[in-house]
Amino acid sequence: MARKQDDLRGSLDLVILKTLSLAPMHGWGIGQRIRQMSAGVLAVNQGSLYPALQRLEKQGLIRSDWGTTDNHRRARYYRLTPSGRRVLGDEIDSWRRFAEGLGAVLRST
Amino acid sequence: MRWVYAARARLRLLLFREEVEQRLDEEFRFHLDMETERLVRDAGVDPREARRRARATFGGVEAHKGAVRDGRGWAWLSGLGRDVRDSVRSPRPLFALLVTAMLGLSLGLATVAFSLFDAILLRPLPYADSDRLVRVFTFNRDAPQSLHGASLPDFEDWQRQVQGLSGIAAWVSMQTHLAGRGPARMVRTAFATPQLFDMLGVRPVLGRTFRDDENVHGGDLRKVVLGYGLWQDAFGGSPDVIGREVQMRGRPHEVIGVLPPRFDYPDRAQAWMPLMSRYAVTEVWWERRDLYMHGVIARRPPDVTIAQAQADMDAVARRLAEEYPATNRDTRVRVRHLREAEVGQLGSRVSGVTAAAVLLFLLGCVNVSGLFVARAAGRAQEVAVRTALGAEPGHLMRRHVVEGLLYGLLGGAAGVAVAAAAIPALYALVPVDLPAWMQFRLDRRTIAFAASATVGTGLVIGTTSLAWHMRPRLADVLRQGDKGGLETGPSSRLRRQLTVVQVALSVALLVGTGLTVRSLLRLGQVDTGIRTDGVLVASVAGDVVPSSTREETIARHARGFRQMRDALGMLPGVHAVTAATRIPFLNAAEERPVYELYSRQRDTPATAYRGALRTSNAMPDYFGTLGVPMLDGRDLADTDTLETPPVAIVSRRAGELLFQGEHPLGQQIRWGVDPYFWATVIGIVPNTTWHQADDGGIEFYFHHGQFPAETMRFLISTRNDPALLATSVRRTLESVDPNFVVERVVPFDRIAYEALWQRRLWTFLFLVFGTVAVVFTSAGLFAVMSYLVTQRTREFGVRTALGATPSDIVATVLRHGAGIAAVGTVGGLLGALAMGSYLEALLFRVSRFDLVTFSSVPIVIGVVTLIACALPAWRASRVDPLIALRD
Repeated sequence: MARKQDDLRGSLDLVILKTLSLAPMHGWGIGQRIRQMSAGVLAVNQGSLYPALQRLEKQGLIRSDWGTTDNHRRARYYRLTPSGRRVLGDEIDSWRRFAEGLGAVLRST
Repeated sequence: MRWVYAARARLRLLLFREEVEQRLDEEFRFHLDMETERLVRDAGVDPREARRRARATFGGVEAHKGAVRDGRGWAWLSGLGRDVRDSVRSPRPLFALLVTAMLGLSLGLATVAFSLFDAILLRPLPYADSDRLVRVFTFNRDAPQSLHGASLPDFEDWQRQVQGLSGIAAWVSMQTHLAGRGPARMVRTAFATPQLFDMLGVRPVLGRTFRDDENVHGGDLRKVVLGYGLWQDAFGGSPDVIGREVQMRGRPHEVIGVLPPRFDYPDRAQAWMPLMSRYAVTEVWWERRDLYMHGVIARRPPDVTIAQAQADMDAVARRLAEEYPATNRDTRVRVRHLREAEVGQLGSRVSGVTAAAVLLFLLGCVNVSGLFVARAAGRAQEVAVRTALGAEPGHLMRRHVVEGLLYGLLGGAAGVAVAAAAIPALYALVPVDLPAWMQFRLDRRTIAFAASATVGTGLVIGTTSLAWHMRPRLADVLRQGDKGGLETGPSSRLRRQLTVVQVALSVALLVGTGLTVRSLLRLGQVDTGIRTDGVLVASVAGDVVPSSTREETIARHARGFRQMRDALGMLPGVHAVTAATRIPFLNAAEERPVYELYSRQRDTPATAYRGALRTSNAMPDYFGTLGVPMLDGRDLADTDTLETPPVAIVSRRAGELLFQGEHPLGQQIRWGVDPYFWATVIGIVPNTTWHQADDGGIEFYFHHGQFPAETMRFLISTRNDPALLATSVRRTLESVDPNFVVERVVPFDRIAYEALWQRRLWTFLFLVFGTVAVVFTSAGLFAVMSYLVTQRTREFGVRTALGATPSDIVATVLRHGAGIAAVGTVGGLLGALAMGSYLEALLFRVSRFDLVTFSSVPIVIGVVTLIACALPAWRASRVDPLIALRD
């Protein structure tokens, strides 16, 4: 069971990192973008989003700075660190392998 | 590289805590703003609703901050501090206000009730080893309910013969004329035997109390021990008062001691004099065994139970019955705990009120628990997130207990404030001076009670909301994370159950309120047969002149009082003036032992009678002034004097009882206190009621000019408002004889009203409890119904879309509310039936199964339910199916 939770948590981290790989973004925007990119399938709960951002920052995968939005509002922007970008690449690979493996198993039945 | 960023993040958290907090705030606020804008833009929701929804979706801001912080892992101790800070800082003023108000009210009222309960029933009487003090009473074998004091010879035999008691003392309480220290005044004086002080464990603050040799029949014992208050009043608290002389009962008495403050036993005494003094009581008292005038108090040794003491006293009483059959054949003795004897019926009344306060307190706790469960459900996501992030159960528990305790403390502080305001306010309903031991206050014990109730409540609240959180529903909550209404079935079920309990508790309280209110109304309707309106009462005490005989004193007083009457009669606006030693309402509690009355023909006391017996020495026109008609015979007249045969007027019931069918007129009766005078019955009056709560009684009236009448109550009938006459009446009375002491001057109406003060006090408390209960319950109902409507918004939308009319929706909601109320009401009524016996002592001519009360309480609850459900129902009927479904 613990394993499963780790996987799920890992997938949220992965999605966040992926979102940030396109451009720096604030928390609300990350949520919105995930929703758009997943065509509404994935909805990130704010209760998980901010702790996840905090966690990632603590791991040094992302960093945050205060910036201004298009309509001149102060917001905290998160951006990928180089190590974050590296981890993202690794994770995407491992996720693909996992998904492919899973798909193969599911197709064969 | 990576560790640099990580370190930066960590350092920032550690070093710039406050700043980090603010940034979290700002970040979250930004999130809410954006979400609101999105809702307005995309969903077309109006801005305020959008704001609300954004907030609801986001959950508690603090919660997320906590969740974010939890990722950092602070030490346990700093965590505790944080819990306290969080609880204090949490921006939930409405919630805090509600909780504080509810806890404050219910805790405060419970504290008030405790202060009463403690004073009357719990806290030890302020005497040494008070649980071993007993009172000893006599009663007639045929009337065991009617307890009286002892005759002096009997008391002295008890003192000599009884084995099972380690000390015994007797007293007689009287008003004593005190002169020479400022204007003359009447002082409540206990004429007591020397043992009284040692037995109660009271030490004088100055001088001494009586010595054993100051206990000799007829001794020249002109000594007085002053109460602290009288010492302050009459002597300015001067320390050289010992050895000074003070004029009491017309004779100089030597002050030998001063007792400590707040000691006023017995009968709120202000001064104590030796019982055996030749100036205390008349000689007949030392001789006659059928004058049951003396209060007796005794102490039992630690190894002697009440039952053993009773058995010992029974043996003594039996010996006396054999030795003195003429007087003691039917005399029995009863030993009772001092507290029980002093408290009497008051005890069960206070218990009833306390039981009601306990119910109210429970109601308050249930209500607050309901609030906490509601909030807990709202915070389910926070907790789920915390748990998912690995928050320890211990931490969660600590947080809830801390929070519960903090709210408990808030409520407790509010409660003490409520009690501090309410207790003095209650004294406004107490027109008499309570004995010191009975005075209820916000003292250490009461505050200790409030404090422990506070802590207990806090713990219960904390653990309740925790227990709610600890339910294994994490997955559910996380899954529902994005939906506005996070609450699921169990929470609303629990809240409904709590509301049912609330309704039940308030139904039980309302029944109590209804019963007491109806009792008070009944008391107000009692036809006492006495006219009190337009009558002013002025109490006047005659002075005492030394070395005058009984006859001289009676004649002196009769003359003085007649002069006063004539002077009052000349005042403008005065219609009629009369007077009597004892009058209804004012002297209702002073009853005589029935067996002090004899009829000459039968020479037997009216022992079969169990009600109250009252005597009064009156002036002519007493009955006319009070609107009591003469049924037969004639009124008292000024021509009845010491030189003419003594006369008496009896009430109809008294005549029937004592003369057993023979016509009372012309019969002769003897009254125990004046055993040598047979009075002839000259008139018959109807039965009157001296106190609204009496179940009848018998009355005998004698002539003030023929029997001792030291204190008279003038009854001044006027066509105007009697209160306007008070000043001129007082001035007139004082001008006739400055040695006569004019006491209270007050309208008779007022006295009759005050006679019911106790009943009014209890009813008032019940009314307060009932009102608060209704408010609490309607708030609880409203909250649970509003919540239900929110939760079922989607369902209502669907129904509306499917063609349900608004009135269908309203009916659905109302039905739901009515269901809760109905279950609660049935439970409450059953509870009220079961606890009715607690109320018995508070009721008057109202059955504890009173149909009117039991049928009107459900109506009240129905109305309350309707009001509480109206707004939620209306809101439900207005649900826009489009919005409801889109959400």
